[in-house]
Amino acid sequence: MPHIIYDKTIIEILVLFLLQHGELYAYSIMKLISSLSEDTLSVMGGSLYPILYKLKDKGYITDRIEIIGKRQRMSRVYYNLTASGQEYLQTLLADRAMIQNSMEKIFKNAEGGVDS
Amino acid sequence: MTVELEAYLKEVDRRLLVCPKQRRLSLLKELRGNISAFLDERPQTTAQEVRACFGAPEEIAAGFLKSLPDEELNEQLHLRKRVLTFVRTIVAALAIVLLLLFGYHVYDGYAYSHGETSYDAPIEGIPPLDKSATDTY
Repeated sequence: MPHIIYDKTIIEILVLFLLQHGELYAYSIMKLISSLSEDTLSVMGGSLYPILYKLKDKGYITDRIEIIGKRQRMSRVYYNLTASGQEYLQTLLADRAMIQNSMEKIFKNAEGGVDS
Repeated sequence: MTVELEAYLKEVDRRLLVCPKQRRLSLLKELRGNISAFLDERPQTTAQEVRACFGAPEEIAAGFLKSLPDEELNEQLHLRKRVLTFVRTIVAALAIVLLLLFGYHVYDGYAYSHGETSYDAPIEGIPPLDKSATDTY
């Protein structure tokens, strides 16, 4: 059973990272997260949509709407990464790496016991 | 799409009523398009499987609503509140008028049955009615 991601920062990183490789729509992003994680991770629509719209509002991604279906009741919204989105992704990845390093230091330094 | 999936989308739509109409319609079009892509890969899929992949209608709607700018959402909520207040005022006013009319009708009936009515009051220029002349034998 894949682990469902609710963490907004992780979803942002994954969305921006995947968009580096070309335009994607919401369901294709969900599929790629599942397949590339070898079915260990998944993200639900209810978590993904607010992230996509917030990233779009901040200018980190843009959208291209394609109306599909016979009665035009459906659309496919393709998202693309912008230059500022690329910068934001680098910032998020750097922050994440820093936090990961700091946590490893805490784990290592606490091995001998924690003295408050 | 099956009846169940249409019901699923309708439920999302219902929970998005506070959204401005155009935005709500475009959000639903996008969701419908994504579900359609999911169905293309799994023609026999059930509404339960769609729900498992995309989330419950309340989760989807909450996600959409969270993505709206606060000002837009607040404006829409205030507009709905104003419309509801207006409708309630009209209904209350109508209820009061109907109550007054009903009350007058009841009072009038009571007054007539107790001889307090003004129906027999003399009218200027017209002689009073001779009731004995209308007695029947």
